[in-house]
Amino acid sequence: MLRNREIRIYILLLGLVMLISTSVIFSMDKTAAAANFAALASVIVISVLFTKWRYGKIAELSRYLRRISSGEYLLDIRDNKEGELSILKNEIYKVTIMLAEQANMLKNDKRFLADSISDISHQLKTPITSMFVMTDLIQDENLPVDKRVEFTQNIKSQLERLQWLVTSLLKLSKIDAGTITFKKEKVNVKDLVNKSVEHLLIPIELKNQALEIIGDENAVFTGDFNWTSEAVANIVKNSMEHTPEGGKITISFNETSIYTMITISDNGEGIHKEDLPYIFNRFYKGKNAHDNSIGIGLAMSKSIIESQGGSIDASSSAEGTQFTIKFYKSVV
Amino acid sequence: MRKIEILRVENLSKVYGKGETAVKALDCVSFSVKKGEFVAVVGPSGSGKSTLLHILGGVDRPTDGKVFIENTDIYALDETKLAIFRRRQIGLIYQFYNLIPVLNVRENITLPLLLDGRKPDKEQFKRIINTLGLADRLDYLPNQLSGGQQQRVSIGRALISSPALMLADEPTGNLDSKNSREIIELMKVFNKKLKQTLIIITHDERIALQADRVMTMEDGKIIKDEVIRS
Repeated sequence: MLRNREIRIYILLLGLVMLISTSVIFSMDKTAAAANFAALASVIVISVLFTKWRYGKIAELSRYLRRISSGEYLLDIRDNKEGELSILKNEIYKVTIMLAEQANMLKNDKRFLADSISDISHQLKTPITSMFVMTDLIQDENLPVDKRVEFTQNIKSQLERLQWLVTSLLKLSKIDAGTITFKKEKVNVKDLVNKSVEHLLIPIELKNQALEIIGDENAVFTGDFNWTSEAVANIVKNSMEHTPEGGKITISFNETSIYTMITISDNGEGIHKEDLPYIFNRFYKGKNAHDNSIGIGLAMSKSIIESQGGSIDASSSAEGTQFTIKFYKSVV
Repeated sequence: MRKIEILRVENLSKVYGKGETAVKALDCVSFSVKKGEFVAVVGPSGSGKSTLLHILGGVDRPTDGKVFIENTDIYALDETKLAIFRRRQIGLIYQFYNLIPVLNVRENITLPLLLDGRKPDKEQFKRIINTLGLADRLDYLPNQLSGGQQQRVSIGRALISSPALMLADEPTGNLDSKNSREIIELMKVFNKKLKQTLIIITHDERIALQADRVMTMEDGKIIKDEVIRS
């Protein structure tokens, strides 16, 4: 305790006051001086003891922090008493819980990275293997021309798929790494939805599906127009693929005082209950997934929306699936 | 990797009354909740869900069993310590808001901190009231607000001390469907953005489906415990 400079100054000052006042009073009255000396001396002793006790508590806290920094995150120092010291302990405990959580998240990230790499390798391996087979076949000089054309076309479509996969992965990793800056512009939801479905109108028409867009024309939110339209397009594409010919897709939107919401619902085959919690996971393929599906579109939509502070959610029943996207006015 | 456990309940039982007329409201209930989870407890009235919530909130003592919140056995604390623990670690939201009628919105929200002799952090307070849409209502008294607004104030009050656990007992039971949706939406925002652990009691199936996990109670027992969102 005496190593603290402020304590030395404090005691020195107290001592000085005692000496000066005692000597001043001594020149007038000896007994009063003695009483003054005794009173001040006991005040000094008491305050020194108190300070010592308080510093002891601080030392205790620093011992505790040392143990946390060595990894004992869940050590509990809260004593649930009234007063500042107890509040401080409580706050320190909250911070340590947060630290423990972050340490956990780091471990999860590491595992996620390893999983992703293995998933990606797997996704790349399949088309590469098939292309190897195809090129072997083409090398055969006796191969009829029509077969040769068929195989080269096959290789081309595999390459297109690979290209799409690599581009998507690149985008996704950029979003996840936070290297993409999302614009914060005022987006009119009606324009956004129209832009999102632009490239899907033809396939929707080919499947003879009805597309209905309803909502408040003035609904707006703050976000990035282009990225969000890509996110919405992925969802609509997914709905279209999982809705039979002649089905119906409805996109509706509205704005409330808390959020702006876009719902995309279809009357398609629905998503299995066991799949529902995982459909936004990268490379997750549910029971109803198409053969050539990779499981990246929904993951990308989720990343785009969540990076802008929004949320996306899916619910499904036998009557179809509904995706709900929300952008909040104010985010805590 | 396991997430941090916020709540652990071990063999919780609660019996009301004695002898012949004794009623078992909770019958050996055990479960645990991890940080950031949003759990809905559903069940018919009389299934013991409110009793469970009151015991979790440190308001009603169990007959048997233990409740650990952030590894603290809360019923091993004496009354004074439990009251302080509750003030700092538990945020409660009731069906009928339970706001203090003579205090304005600002005072009602910051009450848990004032009781602790603390000053609210200005930034945190501002973020909370902005999200709750209460920024222009701070000087109003509870009876000058609509039901939905009052419930938003009580969410603010539950959040201000950044509690380990937020408990809500039929938070939308007294509200129309538009306000109910808003309240649930706000709770979800705080759950997702602040990783606020949340347990809510409801008999409304649609509200329960907004949660990450749904526990169904019957006759004082948990008969189903499903994760619906990960």
